[in-house]
Amino acid sequence: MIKKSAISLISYDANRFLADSIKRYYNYVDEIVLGIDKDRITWSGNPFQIDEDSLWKELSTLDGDSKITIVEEDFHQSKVAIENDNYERNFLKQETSYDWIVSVDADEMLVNAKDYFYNYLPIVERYRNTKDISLIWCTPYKIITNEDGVDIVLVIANDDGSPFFGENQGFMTSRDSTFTYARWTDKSAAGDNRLLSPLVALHWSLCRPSKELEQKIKNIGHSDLVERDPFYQLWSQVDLTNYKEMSNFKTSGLGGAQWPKLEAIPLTDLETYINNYVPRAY
Amino acid sequence: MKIEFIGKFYDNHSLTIINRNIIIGLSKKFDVYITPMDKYDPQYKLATDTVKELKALEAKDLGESNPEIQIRHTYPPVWNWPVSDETKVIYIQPWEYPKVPFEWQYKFETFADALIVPSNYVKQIFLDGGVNPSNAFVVPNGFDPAIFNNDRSEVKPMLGIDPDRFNFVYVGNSQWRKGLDILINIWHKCFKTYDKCTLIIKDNPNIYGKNNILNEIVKMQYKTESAEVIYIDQNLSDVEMANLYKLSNAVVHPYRAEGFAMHVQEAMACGCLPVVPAGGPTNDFVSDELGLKIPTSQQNVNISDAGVFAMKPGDAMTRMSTHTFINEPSGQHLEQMLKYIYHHHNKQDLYKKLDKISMENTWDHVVDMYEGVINEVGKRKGTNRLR
Repeated sequence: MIKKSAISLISYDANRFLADSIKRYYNYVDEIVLGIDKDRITWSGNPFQIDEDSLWKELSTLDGDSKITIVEEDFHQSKVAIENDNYERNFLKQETSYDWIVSVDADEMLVNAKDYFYNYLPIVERYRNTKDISLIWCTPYKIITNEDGVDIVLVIANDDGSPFFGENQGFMTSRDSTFTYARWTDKSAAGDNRLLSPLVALHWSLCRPSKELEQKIKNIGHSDLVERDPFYQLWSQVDLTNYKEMSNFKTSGLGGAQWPKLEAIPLTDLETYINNYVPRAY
Repeated sequence: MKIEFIGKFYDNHSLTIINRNIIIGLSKKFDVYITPMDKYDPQYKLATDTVKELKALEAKDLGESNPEIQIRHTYPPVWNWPVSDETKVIYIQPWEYPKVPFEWQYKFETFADALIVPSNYVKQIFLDGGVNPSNAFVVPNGFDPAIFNNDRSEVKPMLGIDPDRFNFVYVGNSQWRKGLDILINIWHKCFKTYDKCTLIIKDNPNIYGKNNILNEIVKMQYKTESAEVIYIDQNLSDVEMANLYKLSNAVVHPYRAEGFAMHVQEAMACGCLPVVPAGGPTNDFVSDELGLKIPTSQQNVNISDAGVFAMKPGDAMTRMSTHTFINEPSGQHLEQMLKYIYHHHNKQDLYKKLDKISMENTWDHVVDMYEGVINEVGKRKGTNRLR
């Protein structure tokens, strides 16, 4: 099988997510290149702090095969966040050794990586230089602790209660591509040359403590768009008494698919719930 | 005789391939002028000599003179009156469905001096529609035997195709009439990953438009563990197409409606067994003795349905002699046929039968046939334009 390099990013949420994210694909890629801004400044120009000692220790523990490399560089050169986003991904891509590039964000947890890498990827290997491969997001929305002290996760779901699999994101491309809008490349950004795949990732982008979510919104690649979105206000108001009232509630203009509703699942059962529906994702 | 030829010459649409081959041949027999409806584009990988010949014809100027015959091969047809009342108009016009647009029949009857169609199947469709038999001629599409032949001694590896597998090749697009859906629907029932065979799908999205075929076939492979499928959407030159056929063992074209199926003829010339529906235009060059024809059943269709892609809004399809139907190839029989070929104990028997089929339609021969029609029409008195 063709060797693969993964690239991922170290930023303000690395302590919470990065190691868990890498564990999901560590065995299926041949190297992992992680980027971190040399001044610890986000794409949007804001400083961030992480517990680096703890992170390096965690990464060192999981890196039994010495696959991980960390690249420090100035990733905040532009005043436009998406330009820094694209620059960092392209920079990291150039630091990789192999032709096929896996691109995973720290807050994405692959659900069915083994099936994807072993059963799906061999089928599409021959198209690697002309098509990008996308993954399917499954999106937890908010974690709320109920009266019994149990963590309940509200998951974006379809009307029938199954997880909402309506959003795709670029996941794999070839080294000769150029990232032009986050993980979409010059091959796929216009909507062409995209291969859908059965790979599902739990995307924790929205589902984090209030202050961290606020930080995320202010610092992601398309933060200029998100800041104008009433999403955060709505998110703050959702609780276990009113979540069922949320219907077709996506306010962002990013992506056409609406979010039909929220489904409440005990956090401990989340992966089982998702796995039950994975065959329906593709 | 001065002949003006109107059409496209520089892409890889089937009409264009025909145009450039016959015009280069006819230019050696007549004083030929061309009026291209397209421009040279290197992405279509035409041979340099061919481009030079076309450019030389394009550079010729009719000046103040008028052609004696104007040949038109376009889709949709060009209906303008020629500059001179003396110029005779010959249409080359394929059609695929058993019911032609009424406006075509009317115009061919009242305006054209001759109608040339590529197969007896298409001729019968036009005759059923009311075209005067004395104005309808069959001239098949051709192939270049210098390129499309069964000399497999210099076949080159391409696009990851394994010549040691049994390769079925489909050439076409995703239009419903081409029947690719029938083939994809039975492929996973025929062959699994452990079978040493491959379905090669050569698509032409630059000509026929973008589609979702690749995602469909990848999903089919993943969900059903079917045998390998290779999807090709790159532009290939004639030489590359011939190489593709020579890497293949059988050409499969389960069409619902077709005018000729030129690629089937080219693939056969390269030694591919043809698997095609019975009763269609391929009957003109695929012998029944091969025994690889898919039975069909007549099914009514709404030819106005956008999914059928037979016509554009506003086209007239009324007052014709027949209801609108297609010949639906039997998926069940196609499945059996592909298995029969793949599992055949002595495949050489099949290829011996193929060798016996006379491949007459070289472009040289086809150009001679065009010459015959042109001379016959040229001798007729006056033009056929209704006033």
